Amino acid sequence: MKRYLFKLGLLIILLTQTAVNGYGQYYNTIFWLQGIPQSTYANPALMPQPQAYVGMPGISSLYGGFGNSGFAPRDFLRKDSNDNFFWDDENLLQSLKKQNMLEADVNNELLALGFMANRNYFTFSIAEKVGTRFAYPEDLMALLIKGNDHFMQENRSANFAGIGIDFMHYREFGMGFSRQWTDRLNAGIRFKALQGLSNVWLERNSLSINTNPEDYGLLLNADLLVNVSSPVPFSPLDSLDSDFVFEPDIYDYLTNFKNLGGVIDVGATFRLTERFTLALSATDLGYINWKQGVENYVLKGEFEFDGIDLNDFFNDDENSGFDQVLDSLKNVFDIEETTFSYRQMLAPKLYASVAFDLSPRHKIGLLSRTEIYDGRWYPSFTFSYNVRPIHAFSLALSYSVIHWSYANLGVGFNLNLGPLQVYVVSNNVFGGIQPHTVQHASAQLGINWVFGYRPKKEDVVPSIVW
Amino acid sequence: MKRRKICNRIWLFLAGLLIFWMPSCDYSYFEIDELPDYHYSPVFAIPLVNSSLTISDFVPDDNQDLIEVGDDQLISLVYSDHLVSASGAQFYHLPDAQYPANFYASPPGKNPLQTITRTFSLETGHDDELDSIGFRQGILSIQASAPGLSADGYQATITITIPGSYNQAGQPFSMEVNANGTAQKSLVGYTIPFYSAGTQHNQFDVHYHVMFSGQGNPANAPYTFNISQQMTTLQLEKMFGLLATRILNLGGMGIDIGIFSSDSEGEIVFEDPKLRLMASNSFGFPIGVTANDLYLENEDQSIEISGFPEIWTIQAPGMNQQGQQLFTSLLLNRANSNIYDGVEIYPETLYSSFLSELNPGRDRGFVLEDSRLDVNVELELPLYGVASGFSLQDTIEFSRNDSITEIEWIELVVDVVNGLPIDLFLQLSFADADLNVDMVLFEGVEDFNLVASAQVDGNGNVISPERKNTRIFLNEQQTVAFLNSPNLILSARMLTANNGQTPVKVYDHQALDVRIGARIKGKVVIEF
Repeated sequence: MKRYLFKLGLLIILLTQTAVNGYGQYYNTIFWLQGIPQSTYANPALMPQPQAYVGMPGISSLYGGFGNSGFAPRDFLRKDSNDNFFWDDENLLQSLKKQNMLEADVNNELLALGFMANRNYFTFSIAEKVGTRFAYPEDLMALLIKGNDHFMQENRSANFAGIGIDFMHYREFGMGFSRQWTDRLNAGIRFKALQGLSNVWLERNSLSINTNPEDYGLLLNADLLVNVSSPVPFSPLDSLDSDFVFEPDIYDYLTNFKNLGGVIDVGATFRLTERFTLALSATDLGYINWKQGVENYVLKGEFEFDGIDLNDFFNDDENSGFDQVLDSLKNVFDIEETTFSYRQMLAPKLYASVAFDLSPRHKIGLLSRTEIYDGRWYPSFTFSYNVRPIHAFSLALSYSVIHWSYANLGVGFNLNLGPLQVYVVSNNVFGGIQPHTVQHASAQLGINWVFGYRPKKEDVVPSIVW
Repeated sequence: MKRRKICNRIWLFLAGLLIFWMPSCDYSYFEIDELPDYHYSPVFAIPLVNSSLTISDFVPDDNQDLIEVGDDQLISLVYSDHLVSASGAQFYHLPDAQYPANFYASPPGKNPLQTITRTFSLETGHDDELDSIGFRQGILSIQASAPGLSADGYQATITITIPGSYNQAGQPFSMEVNANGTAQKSLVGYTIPFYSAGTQHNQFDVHYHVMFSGQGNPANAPYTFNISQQMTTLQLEKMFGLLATRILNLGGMGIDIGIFSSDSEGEIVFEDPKLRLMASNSFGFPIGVTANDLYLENEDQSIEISGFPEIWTIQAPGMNQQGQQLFTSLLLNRANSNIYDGVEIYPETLYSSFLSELNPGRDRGFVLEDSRLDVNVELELPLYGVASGFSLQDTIEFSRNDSITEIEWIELVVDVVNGLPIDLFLQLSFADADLNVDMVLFEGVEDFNLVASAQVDGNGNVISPERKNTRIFLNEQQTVAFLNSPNLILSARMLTANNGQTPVKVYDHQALDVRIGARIKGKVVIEF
């Protein structure tokens, strides 16, 4: 069983990382592909190239993304000088940073439209977004691979501070406005109302475990707060057993409007010279108030587990030894359960980019993207080359350093067949070439109806788009 | 022109990159079946046991009476059982009784005499002089006949009353019967007083009152009334008076002395064994108890315990202590008996049987329906003495469905702070289904001193606990045996402090603080 689970997990990781596709959350490759209306989501000041567009309902933007800042498959599964595979636990651990993040996102744009009016551009969109993040400290992986004895031998505690679990499903209703204020300056803003649907969030995440070398007693020092907004209650935890079934009412779930929130995106672009353009933006500045189906689990303090008491073991005829161990652990870990509503900030993203027009058809860009999650900054940097040989076709090639992972080669294009636009963008195609090197991959593709993307004769080279 | 040149170079660069990357595509990572096995071998250190144990904790729940803690906290092993006498109602059995009576009576105008009294005596079968009896059960049945009464055209009703009797409502016992009829009435709840006249005892009177009716001609008057009376199914609730002496055989019993019955070896000496007898009496008079048998026995020999008095008098509750039990105890110890010698033979059984004489002084007293005599016999072995090489062995059987092979080795750490004046040596043997030992935990030694005795003074009292930290490494072979053997044989050997030379005392406050942890190295192979 464990063998198949392991294989399945490995397969999923490899397939996810080798998928040749585009990405959504990481706007690194798509950033300057302004022929695609969705490229402007990273900076609301950017105007799509088409004068107007309508997304194909339900398929205007499909996005899936995966990232692991900790390690690539090659860090764990290596080859010796004879080109034979071997598993290298030590190398895996050495490749980890102090804090690492595993993330996965799936977005689906249900509705999108936009149009230009004079020097203004208006956009509207509705999107379904599901995202999960698991922040894992280096020590957590060391615990899994080496066991707690490793820390005991080093005479230190296993420190899991910063461990994070964050799952969120919400619906986004967006309305954007961008204006060309001067010949050089564009600025825009996008308001997004959020309808929270479900959430699991480890709000407080201080955790360490110390193993006493004398008797291997475990001392857990914890300050954990897990917030849950779920269509099916879990509390009280004591009542959970093998009969528990997670079967929410789908209609109630999707029409739950009690978890409301809002975010704004702001941005500006400034044409420094005829060929240099600077773009700055900040997105996802806001929060969701979770009020429906809320449960909070608090574990705070020092918890010591020194083993079971033989008196209980010998004198309790009703429960098995395993039950007694569980009872002992239950007694040790006194989890407080409450139902207070809570507010969760979304992870803000900061973008700074500069583009240089090599010619009216060629552009190179540098982009810095920083995601702030749980107080930590996760940066990525992209160099992109963009070409538009004809008005109906654009192509972007990019190289990114994402969370200090260097093997990210991206490709994206859009092809307009008349007003029908098809686009595919990937942030990393290494997955198909060097799957063992991939740590981040994402896919974004969609179909739009675009209008007026061919420039007027007197305006062959737009001020911002090219 | 210059821009076009730059762009061409970029295209060339990208084409070069593509050419460079294509051969470097490595799809071997997709060939999952070709991947090597993954050996998952973490080492986890986990706590297993953290207990503070006293001697009492080693005794199973169902045998809690075995351990007793004295006022001075000294722990004793106590083996006991008790004999219970028959109850007062059972032992003081009342036989059925017949009371025939006859008398004459006439209708009004013929003879004024209408009330007749007769005296009867209750027989108990013993030489008792009763003051009264209250009945828990009993029926008085009456058959009456009056020949000629009907022929003269009369009917009559006889009212029967026992004067002085009473029930809880204060009403005397009274019943009616037709002159030619039968009747019965329960005696339950009634108390009948008795009196003595000369040498006649247990006497009581009965009044017969005749009521005539009808308009006849009393040609045959006075009429003869024949009364047949029976008291049956009598059972006392209480009985007072000068009760005769009776012999009550309590029977006998054998008490297993577990510590010597188990499969044990070595020497153990109890310095102050005691045999304690305790009688509780709720009869309203003293009882003399004699011992028919009182001896300790093992398979080879027996020793009769001396020191038991010829008659052991059990005190009784007084008239104002009805319903209470009075306790009388008898202690046989090293000073007044040979109990020390008896225990030295490691007896497996204590036999005892007793005979009792109720009210040997023929005192005035009472019996209640639930009056009893209980005699409890205890062999008390205070944990004060020496043990040398005293060993026990137990086999722990496991039913294992699957063998556990995912563990490479185990290292146990046993940290013991011992407040008991006892060294404990252990050995664990791994045996097959036929109890053939394949391997032992502590190789090269018969057993291992896992728990070191606390420090004691010259009187055997603990002056400081002793700590011992032991690490026991089970190699792969031992680990497999430990986890998969169908039988584990645990051998334990005890040795009191100072190599069994100084008698020690074990108190309830002396504890064995045990902490056990394990480092376990996994050996899980995930195949592809």
